[in-house]
Amino acid sequence: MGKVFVGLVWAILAAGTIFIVSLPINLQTHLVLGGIVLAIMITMKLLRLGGTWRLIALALGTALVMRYVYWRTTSTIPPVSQLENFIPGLLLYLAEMYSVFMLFLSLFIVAKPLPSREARPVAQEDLPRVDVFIPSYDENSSLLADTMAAAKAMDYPADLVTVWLLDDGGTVQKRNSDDIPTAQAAQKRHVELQQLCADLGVNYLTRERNEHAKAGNLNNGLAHSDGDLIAVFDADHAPTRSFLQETVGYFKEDPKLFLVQTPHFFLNPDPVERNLRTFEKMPSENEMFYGVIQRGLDKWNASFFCGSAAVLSRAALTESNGFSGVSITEDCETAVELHSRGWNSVYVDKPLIAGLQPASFASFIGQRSRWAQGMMQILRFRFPLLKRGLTIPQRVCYMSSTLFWLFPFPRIIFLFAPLFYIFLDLQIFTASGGEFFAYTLSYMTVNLMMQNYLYGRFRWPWISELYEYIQSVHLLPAVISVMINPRKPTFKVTAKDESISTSRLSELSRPFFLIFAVLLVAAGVSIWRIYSEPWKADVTLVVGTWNLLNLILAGCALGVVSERREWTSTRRIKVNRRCEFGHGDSWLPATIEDVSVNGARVRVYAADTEKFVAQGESAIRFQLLSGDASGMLPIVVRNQIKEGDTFVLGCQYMRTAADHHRYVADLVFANPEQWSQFQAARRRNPGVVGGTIWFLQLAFYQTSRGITYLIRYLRGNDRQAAPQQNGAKS
Amino acid sequence: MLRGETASKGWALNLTKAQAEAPMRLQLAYSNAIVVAPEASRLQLLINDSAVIDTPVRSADGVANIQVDIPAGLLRAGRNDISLRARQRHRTDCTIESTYELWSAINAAQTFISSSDPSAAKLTTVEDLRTISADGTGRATIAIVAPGMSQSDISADVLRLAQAIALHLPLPDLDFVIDSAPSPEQEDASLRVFFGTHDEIEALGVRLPSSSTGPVAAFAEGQSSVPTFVVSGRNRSEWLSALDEVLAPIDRAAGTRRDTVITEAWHLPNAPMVLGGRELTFRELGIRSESFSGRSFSTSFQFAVPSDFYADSYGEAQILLDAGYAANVLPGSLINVYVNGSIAVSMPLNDQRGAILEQLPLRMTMRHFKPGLNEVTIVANLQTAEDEACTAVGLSDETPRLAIFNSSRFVIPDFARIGQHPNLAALGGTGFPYTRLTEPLPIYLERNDAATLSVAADLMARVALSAGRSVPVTLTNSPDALRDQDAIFISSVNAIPAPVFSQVKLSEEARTFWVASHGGVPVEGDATQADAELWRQRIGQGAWLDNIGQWFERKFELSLSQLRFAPGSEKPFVPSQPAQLLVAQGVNPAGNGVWTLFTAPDAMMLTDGVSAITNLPNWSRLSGRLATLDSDEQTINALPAKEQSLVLTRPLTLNNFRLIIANWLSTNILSYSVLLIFACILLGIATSSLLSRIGRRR
Repeated sequence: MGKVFVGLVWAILAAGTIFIVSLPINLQTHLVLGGIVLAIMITMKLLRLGGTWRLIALALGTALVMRYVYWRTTSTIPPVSQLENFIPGLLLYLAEMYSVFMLFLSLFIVAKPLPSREARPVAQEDLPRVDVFIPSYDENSSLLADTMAAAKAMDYPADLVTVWLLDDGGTVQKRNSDDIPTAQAAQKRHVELQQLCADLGVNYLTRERNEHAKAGNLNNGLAHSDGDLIAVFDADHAPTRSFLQETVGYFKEDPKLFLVQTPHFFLNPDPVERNLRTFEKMPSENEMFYGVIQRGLDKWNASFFCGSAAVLSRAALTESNGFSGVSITEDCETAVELHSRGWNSVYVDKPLIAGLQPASFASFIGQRSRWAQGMMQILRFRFPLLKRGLTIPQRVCYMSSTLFWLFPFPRIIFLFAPLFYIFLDLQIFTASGGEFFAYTLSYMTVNLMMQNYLYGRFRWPWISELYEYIQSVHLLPAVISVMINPRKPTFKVTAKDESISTSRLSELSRPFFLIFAVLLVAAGVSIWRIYSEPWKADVTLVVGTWNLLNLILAGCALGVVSERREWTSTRRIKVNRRCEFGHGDSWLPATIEDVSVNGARVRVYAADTEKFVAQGESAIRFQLLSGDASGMLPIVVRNQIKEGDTFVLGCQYMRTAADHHRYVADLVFANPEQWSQFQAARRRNPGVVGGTIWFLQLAFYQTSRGITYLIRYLRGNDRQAAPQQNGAKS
Repeated sequence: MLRGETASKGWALNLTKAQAEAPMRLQLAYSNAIVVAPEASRLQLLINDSAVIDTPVRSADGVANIQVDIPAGLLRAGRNDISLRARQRHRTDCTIESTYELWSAINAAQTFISSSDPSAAKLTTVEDLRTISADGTGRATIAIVAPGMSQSDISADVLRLAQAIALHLPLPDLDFVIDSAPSPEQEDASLRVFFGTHDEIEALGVRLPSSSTGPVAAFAEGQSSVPTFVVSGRNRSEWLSALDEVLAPIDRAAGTRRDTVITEAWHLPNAPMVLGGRELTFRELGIRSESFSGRSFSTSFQFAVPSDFYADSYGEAQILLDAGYAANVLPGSLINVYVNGSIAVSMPLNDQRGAILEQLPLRMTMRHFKPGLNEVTIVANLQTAEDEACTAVGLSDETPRLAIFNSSRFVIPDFARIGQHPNLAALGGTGFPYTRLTEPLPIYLERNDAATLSVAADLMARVALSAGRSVPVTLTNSPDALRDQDAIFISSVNAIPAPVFSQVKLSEEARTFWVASHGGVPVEGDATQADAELWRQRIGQGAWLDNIGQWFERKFELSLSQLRFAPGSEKPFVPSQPAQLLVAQGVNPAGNGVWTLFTAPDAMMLTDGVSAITNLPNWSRLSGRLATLDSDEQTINALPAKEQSLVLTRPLTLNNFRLIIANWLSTNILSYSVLLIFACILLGIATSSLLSRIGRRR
């Protein structure tokens, strides 16, 4: 009753606000409004007002955006009689309206994201039986061993949890391949992994044929297991000890629950973070999704399955005949299906796994192409807006998640729109310099402010634009092709474990240099036109500024496609853990200062450390988190620094036995707090102004770096090297 | 006066059947600026679209007279369209500025059509009133002789008669002289009207038309050269019905729609009345398709908007222009559109290859629109490289630079309509609010004598012309009875009833101060304050904050003074020299009607002032809540109305309501921000409350 009443009041107020917004007031009144609204929003932001204040600020911003839409719609579209202006003008208009529409959808979703959930403890006797699925295609055994060891080490009664390696790289089909080397490799892998699984206490499972890719593999796992719940981890996604404790409790609470999803946390930088060197200081790209959007979706019971780091209910999966495989994003598709059947989902906002993401720009684009094409397929085959059984908010949420991937269209249009004026002298946006100032500038500013309001700590200004731009160039053809031929795309496994051994240009870099060159010429032409055609200098100035923004973005992208050399594929995580360094019976007191999946830095508190190092073989001994036992991990010292009485040693693990993988997993993956702390350290809101200045500096530097790489490449000094594969895929 | 490189004027001339059939001779007298190059300049006079005169412009050293016989059959009974077109080129200069020096002036006193046939001059029926024209100075004096005035109070009827005559003679400058007996001055009038019973009129020596048994409304055989018109009957009721007869063909019932505003006596075509969203082609507005080869092209049209027009702050009209310009037109050339003399939009012609413009929208603010007649002028300034070189001065280069087509359209969107009190522009435009009355309008006169009545007649004739209908009046001398009525007060400042001062926000100091200022006594003014303001402006230009303010003002026409929540309050006004006449409007004490005051320091100035203000060019410039006319009889200073009450003039529709609000908020800029912010705060709270009720909460 109260709900209906408040809804009615809300609807009346919304209608009233729209009425006020759509009054045809004059330019001066809008200008004053824009100034006042921005001033209020800035003040509210500076005062860090939250709660209802946040919604008021968003309402103000929305009102200004709607005023822009009203003006843009009623006053700026070129007349139909001038087709050469009208057609590109309409395209630009549609692109802008798409952006505004997506803004409104995200406002709905993240209007009030759910706060982080408290864990739901479950009594020991009520714990359900869990099957852990680790699907693999061609990842190497060492990586799989770490993941399996971490899975086995999860804090859960051993008799209630079964870990399954679902190996699609060793299927009968592959082992009998007509290609002899392939067949031999598959056979070798089959044998090796079976042994590894046996050592770690993991069930090895493979199947006849590689049908339906990952969905088929998981369904094969379902058919061979019978636990109440299914936890899914990608081959490189190693869970923390508390993963199951944090997640299974929700299933007890809600029998209609089909999914508990947790965030994906990455140990290595994506190509943007690596090439721009932002991994340590700026939140990762996916933190906006896992930090805000999933929580927002969760409010509307629309948080969806992301392929890994999640627990699903067997009862639900049985009802839907397992994982759906029509699209190449089986995860989201399965979630749509189960939501529409009345099942619920829950999102736990706490990183409980750590994994890898694509390192090279090419693999990154490959992964995004899959997501984009898969979401387009869902849009095409499961059209969420009209899908029976979904609630209205769920429909809105899924529409937002799928339509998001149309961004290459507007992004490319925004990129090329100024060129119509600069090169062809077409006027595709009819407004005077003053109107541009009053409407467009206030719109753009309020848009930036709202982004900052919504995602401030998780996404810095201009970074969304950069990511959209670098993806758009190659995603646009991918999205168009899936629109024309929706059944064509097939599941391609993303390589995530390359390391870039030489600084080089990405193989996909050519279009970016081309676009940059075109925009640079356009910038030159616009400056020339300001002086040669002073009578339209004001319009040229506005369009030239717009082009300049594109040029800055395109320049920054040059840095993204100029791959930096980097040996280690994963980053070191700061820890502070007691251990002992030594061998045999001689042990020295030490602390582990940081760890990665390949090695650790150890500080040894003894003057005669050098003697131990010289002997060549040594080990570290430490107390395991998963019990009272201690583990001894063989290492090789790669470097040493003497600091006073202590020695700092760079060590590389020498994993020879299955137990060694358990120790590494314990060192690196067991503790969930360290992932949260690592993320928290990056989650800082630089503000619109600070962020913009920082981005400008970054873009300037990256442009010069990109051009330097290009010159080196043209001189032929560049030794093109293919990315080296270490072996993880998802 | 025809100015610039291209100019035209059109008007209607009404002729009786006899006049149309008689052989007519046309005389045109003109002179022109010395810089007009005769070999490249032509003056044409057209009657009903046939050129009667087509001559080079070559009368720089005096007035040239051209006489021609009008071809038989060209003139017709009733309306004839006359137009004058001039094409003028400069002798020595090719700049746009030089085109401002070009003019040809028609000498009105020596320009006329005449007939040797005396029967052609004979006027008979009411219809023939239309053929009366103004004298050489452009003014038409109409003498009304009402012998009955001295015995009984027929002033209201006389005023009604004046309005009726005016509606037959819609001339820009009408002057009424009312008397109870003929006088020698009346011999100079354009028309003399006798009004009374048969006996009274015959007693003055006027021969009534043949059968004078019933009501008479017809021309009498004149003893003098002045056409004499008689409105009479055997008794009062008969001459009143004769008056009705005069009114019948031209009056309009209150509340009926008006499709055009009659301007044909000085401008063709008549101005269409635009009551809401409407598109008018240039063809309908009387603009011809035209190619132009000179530097500065100009053309204009008229239209009218109703008295309750309320879109001056927010509205935008459009011209969808069909035009073309040649490749030799240099960038920097402009097409400017002026509304009532103020620039509304400026479109650069920037394409260096020339261009064909098809229905190109020129968006223009409606800020300068006003109730009643409006004039839109389109001016194209065309620069070419040839002009910069200026080699072929004075030679006629016929290569067109610009063409404007009559398929262009003038588009007015639906606009807000609500009456505003006070608003002198509405009075000047359409006689609002007095035109809507069904009851007679009370008029307060200082004295009830012939001279004062003449002033009232001037005024009411002009009101009737603005309104397009006659307004019934009643005379009163008791302001107390007018508390809850509309009223007009005509009085010298000393005789104004006290309540009027406060209603029209005129300071009572005016009684002493204004009169004294005209008496030549030096008065203390705000000279020092004005000086200080001037100095502050001159010195303050360098200040940083001022620069920003000025930039905003230039770019957005937005100044600090516009930042307001609601209209301010009015301060009582003190007129001073050189204001000769003051017109002020305010709501009546009951708040349900409008009082308008016409006042001057003394009766003489009041007579002259009203006569001057009712001159059309002055009358249509009335605006605001208060306006003064200086003693030069052409400078008008208006005080914009701050406190206006809005009065419904038609049933409120949602759309009209929306547009009215838009205009009010566009005037009171800060209120819009406050309103929207308030709405957003409520919406934010409601959203918050709704979000804590729907969806998951934890």
